[in-house]
Amino acid sequence: MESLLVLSGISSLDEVEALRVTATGAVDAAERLGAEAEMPSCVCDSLEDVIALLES
Amino acid sequence: MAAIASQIGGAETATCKYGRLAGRLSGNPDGRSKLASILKSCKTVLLDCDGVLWRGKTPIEGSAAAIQSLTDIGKDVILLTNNSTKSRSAYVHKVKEVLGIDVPATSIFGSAFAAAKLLRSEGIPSGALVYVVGEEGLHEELRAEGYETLGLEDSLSPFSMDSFSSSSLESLGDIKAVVVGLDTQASYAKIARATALTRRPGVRFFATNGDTTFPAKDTLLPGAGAVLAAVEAGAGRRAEAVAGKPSGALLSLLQEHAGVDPATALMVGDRLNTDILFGN
Repeated sequence: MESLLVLSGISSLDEVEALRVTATGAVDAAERLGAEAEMPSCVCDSLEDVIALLES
Repeated sequence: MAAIASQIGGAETATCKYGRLAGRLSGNPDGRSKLASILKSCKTVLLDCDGVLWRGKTPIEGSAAAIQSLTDIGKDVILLTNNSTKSRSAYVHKVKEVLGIDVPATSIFGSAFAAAKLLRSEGIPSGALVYVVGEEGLHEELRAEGYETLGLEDSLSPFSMDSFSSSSLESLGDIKAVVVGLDTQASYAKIARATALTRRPGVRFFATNGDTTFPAKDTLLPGAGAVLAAVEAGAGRRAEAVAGKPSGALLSLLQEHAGVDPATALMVGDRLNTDILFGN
């Protein structure tokens, strides 16, 4: 199975801060586990990127 | 968006680390080409909900259109959420309310539904009494699978350490299993009863999911994993099995009930240790 990580819903600095906590925690967890298995195939900002791709 | 993220150390760090291993779409032809290839070859798109389609009751821009576009080009779109507070039928209403689109219940796999099926596959017989630390959606799915549930009433019940004893649990009946999920009404009474029950011989112990946080509108709240951690700490044992992402039990459920072939599926999510691990 392929995987796509969405860094979505960022519209304010507060939300960026929430993302920072999430992203940093996730990466730290992945590194502790030595887990390349947790790395996504692709990364996008939101599903709008997917729409743009489908329409291009 | 990328410009905002680049000003924040953590996000930038994360993005750079992902970038070494993954194709990032923004300004990256390789990333776009890679995802285009994946979308072309995949048959099923599994979409996480909280943080991908919406935050709380606020839709994330473009998510409804993305579901429609993927459906229009013939992809099977399945919503896959670790949020156990709602049943499948409740999610049908939420998708309609928040995104304005119709998605059949059979295309929605929540961890409440998955937990009910997990108990069945783990040999908990129909009619068994189950103590639940969780909300109505989890109770609803367990009852739909034929189980009797207890626990909702403990959200508001007073609790006294002096009067509580293991023998006082006898009045609850012959409880066969404890299931823990996200519970915004979790109380000391609930956690105490769940803890005491999981210490009894023969009582099975399951969880809907292990997400430690929950993405609210503009912050992170304690997730099911935080509630689970309280029960596990008190019980002195870990849950025997977890129903939601990234468990193999959920993959089996998708294969059995939705005909999902992992070889032709794309998992879309916002967490490495649940969504992406499940996808990989």
